[in-house]
Amino acid sequence: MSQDVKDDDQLLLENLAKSEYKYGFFSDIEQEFAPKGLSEEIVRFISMKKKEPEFMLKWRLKAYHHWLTMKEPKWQKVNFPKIDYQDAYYYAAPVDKPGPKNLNEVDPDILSIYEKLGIPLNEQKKLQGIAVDAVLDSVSVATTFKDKLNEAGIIFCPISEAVHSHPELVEKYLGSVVPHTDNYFAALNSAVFSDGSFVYIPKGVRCPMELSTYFRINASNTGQFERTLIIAEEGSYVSYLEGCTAPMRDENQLHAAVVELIAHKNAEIKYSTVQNWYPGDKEGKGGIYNFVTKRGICEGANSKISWTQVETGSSITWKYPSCILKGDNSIGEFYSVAMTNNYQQADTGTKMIHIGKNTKSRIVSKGISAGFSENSYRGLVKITKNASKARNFSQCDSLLLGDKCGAHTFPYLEIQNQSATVEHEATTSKISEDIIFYLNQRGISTEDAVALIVNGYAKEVLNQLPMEFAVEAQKLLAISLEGSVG
Amino acid sequence: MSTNISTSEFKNKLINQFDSLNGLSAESNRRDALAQFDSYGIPTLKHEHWKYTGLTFLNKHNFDIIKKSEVDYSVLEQFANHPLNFIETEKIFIVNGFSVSSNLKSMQSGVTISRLSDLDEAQKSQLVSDFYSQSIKLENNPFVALNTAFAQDCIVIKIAQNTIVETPLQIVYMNFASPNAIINNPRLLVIAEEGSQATVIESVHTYGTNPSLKNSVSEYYIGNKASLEHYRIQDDSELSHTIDFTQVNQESDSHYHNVNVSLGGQFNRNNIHTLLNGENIESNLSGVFITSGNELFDIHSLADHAFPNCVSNENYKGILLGNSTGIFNGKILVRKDAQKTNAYQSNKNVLLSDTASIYTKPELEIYADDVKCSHGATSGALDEISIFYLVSRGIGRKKAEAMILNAIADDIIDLIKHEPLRLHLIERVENKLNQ
Repeated sequence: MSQDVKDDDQLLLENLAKSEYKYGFFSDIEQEFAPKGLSEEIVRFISMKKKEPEFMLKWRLKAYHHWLTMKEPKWQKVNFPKIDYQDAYYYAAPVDKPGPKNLNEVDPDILSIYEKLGIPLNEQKKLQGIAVDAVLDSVSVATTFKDKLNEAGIIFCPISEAVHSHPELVEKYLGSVVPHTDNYFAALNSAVFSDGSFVYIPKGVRCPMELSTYFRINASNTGQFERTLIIAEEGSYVSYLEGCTAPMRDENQLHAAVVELIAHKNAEIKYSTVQNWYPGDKEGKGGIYNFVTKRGICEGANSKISWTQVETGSSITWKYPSCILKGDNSIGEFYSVAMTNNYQQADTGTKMIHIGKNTKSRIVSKGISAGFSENSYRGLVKITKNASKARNFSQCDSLLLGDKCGAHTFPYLEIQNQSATVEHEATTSKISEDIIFYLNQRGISTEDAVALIVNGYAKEVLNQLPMEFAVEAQKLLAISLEGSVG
Repeated sequence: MSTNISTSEFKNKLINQFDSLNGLSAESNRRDALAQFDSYGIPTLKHEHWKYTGLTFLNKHNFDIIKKSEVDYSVLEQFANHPLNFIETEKIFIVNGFSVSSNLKSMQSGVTISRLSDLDEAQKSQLVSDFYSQSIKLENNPFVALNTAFAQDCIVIKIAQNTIVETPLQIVYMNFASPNAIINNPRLLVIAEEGSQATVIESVHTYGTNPSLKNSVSEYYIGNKASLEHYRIQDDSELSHTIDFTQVNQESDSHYHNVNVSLGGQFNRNNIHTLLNGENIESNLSGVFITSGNELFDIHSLADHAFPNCVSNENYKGILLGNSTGIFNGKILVRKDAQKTNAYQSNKNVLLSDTASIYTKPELEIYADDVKCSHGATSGALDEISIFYLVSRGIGRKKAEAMILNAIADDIIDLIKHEPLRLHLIERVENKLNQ
């Protein structure tokens, strides 16, 4: 009996080995590179290339000089070969033509990439009610739905455009949540970021559609340094989706993005991510380094920021979407599913900093590790002295599929106020054999049974995703799980 | 009197005293340890394991190391009237890190108490090669390295195979610092051989006019099927500073239970590491601390599961008053082969003042899949509903609060099987909470 089960497992593992990265292709588009390496000249080059105003150049240089004084952090529970920051290109843009006026002007090669990815970047998109700010290797190539958003007074454009069209907003908010001094990768990003999305929701406006952007890493050896800035004015609401897939590559690629969210009084920002960068092959070769700083501030009273993430890709994922709960009664939420397989490593979690009174936060983190992967939850809940009646609930569960993987939990709870209530619980276990047996008995194969259980396990998080993403995320989990039953 | 001294000055001052002391173990081991201490230095808040535990008192008090000839044993008299002197135990006194010679003999058969330095060469080298310092790491562990370099005396307690020790063994650590602040480096080695059963109580008592720092290292080896109850009591004065490290190695089918009750002491950093080095082991760590004033209590624990089919439980509770600080860092490590592990960890804290703070970090690090591991941590004020329940039955609010707090502490204290000690502690907790 147990022998049979073993053989079954073996078979499933072999299947997994065969299921290659679905989105691995590489399209050859003429690229314009900045010379390799990083120096003050490169920073100036990027800024010049983008015809940025003076304040941006100053800001970039300040960040660059600060970066030079910093050391790469070592505390995280991930291993990777040392990154040579001088051996990468910091600027790559599709060849500079005058900006496209409509989709016909967009390079057909670029369009075909999106088609392969199943992103219909065309009129059909309108029917689905999603505006897509597609980012291809650092420069936005097309923006749809602008008119409709314009009507509502919403600004949704590439950040490089916002620098020109709304410099006062950019100057005021850029780096206000994640300053360039924050950490090594944030400093690097601040110095060399190429593009990203900028969202501004005016007072009292409820964004009529889900905003979404697709990031892609395309050119070989080009680190991607995206910068996203979302500002929700008083009483506004926005739901923002971010999804990633990347072509197959053998060299490790660095992705060091920064996302900043600012929610004013009574505003709400919902930020959802489905991350499926190339995770490396089954030997752990290649794959994306995803070192991201994401942070939101609930600046005004009664504001709310909610992070939802489904992380299945990248060879290394290292990010902590955080909330600073400054306004009284503000709410922070973090829902995460992190799935690692083969030699993937994930060190992810959140920080909830309670500053205002009656602030609330909720953390639900579900880790799933399979193969030889390492999956860590690392989170901080900090209740400062003045955050009276603050409330936090955290739940961090880990599921282990296979005996070669690891699941770790490192929660930090720092409480300096007596009226605060903080609860944290975590469990680690595998799927019980009884449950599998129960499902087998009813004619469900072991693999389907595991997928069923994992989907149920992750449901609390997946339910938080907008509809379109929830479907994609479920598929992704199923693909990532394929054959990882152990 | 105390004058401020920089961290590096303090470190160098200790290192300079090294040559003038007669160490315990081989010169080369001590030199190694000294080098480790020297290279790591005094930890700062930048070191992960000392993130919340500031050591500025070291600079403030400028602790000295003393030689055996300088020990003032008259302090023993001060303990004579202490309630813990009256509980029925076999007592071993250690004053400023040095054992009191007249007591080095057990009344009970199967128990041998000796000083490592008194043993003959053959016995000594066997102990050193099998046990002494064998399971502790000096690197990244500056205070263990400091102890290993500077310990001048080590008590060895050996419980022979299948011996059931009726009367608990009580190790009374006494700190006496006058006129200078003193750092003591006591060292303890307990070997419970196969099938033996015993209870060991450790308590700390500080006297004198100046602050003391007890930097102790204790190693417990618990053989197959052996069972050890280990109670650690700290109900000390504001002169008391402690950094201690307890390493427990358990073999198959053994049972170990540590209950740590901490009711007073200015600075109290406890490290306890258990290594579950066999199958079917039960390992329990429990503790309660009540801190007030500017006290700091810090517990760092590690349950290291190296083999399958073991159970570990950890249960710590904190009650914090005044400006005090509590730190809990518990880690469950389940190694690759330790399948069917069942590990549980809980840390619950009550904050009773707006200036008290608690930093808790329960960690899980798991490399085996067929395990059940969980942890929980909570912090909050007293439950208003429970208080209301009591108040509505005619109990005064203050009394109601004390009842609930007592219940929290007694949950842990009830785990102490030695009745006189348990009753004493229940009373002490009541007194402390009524203050």
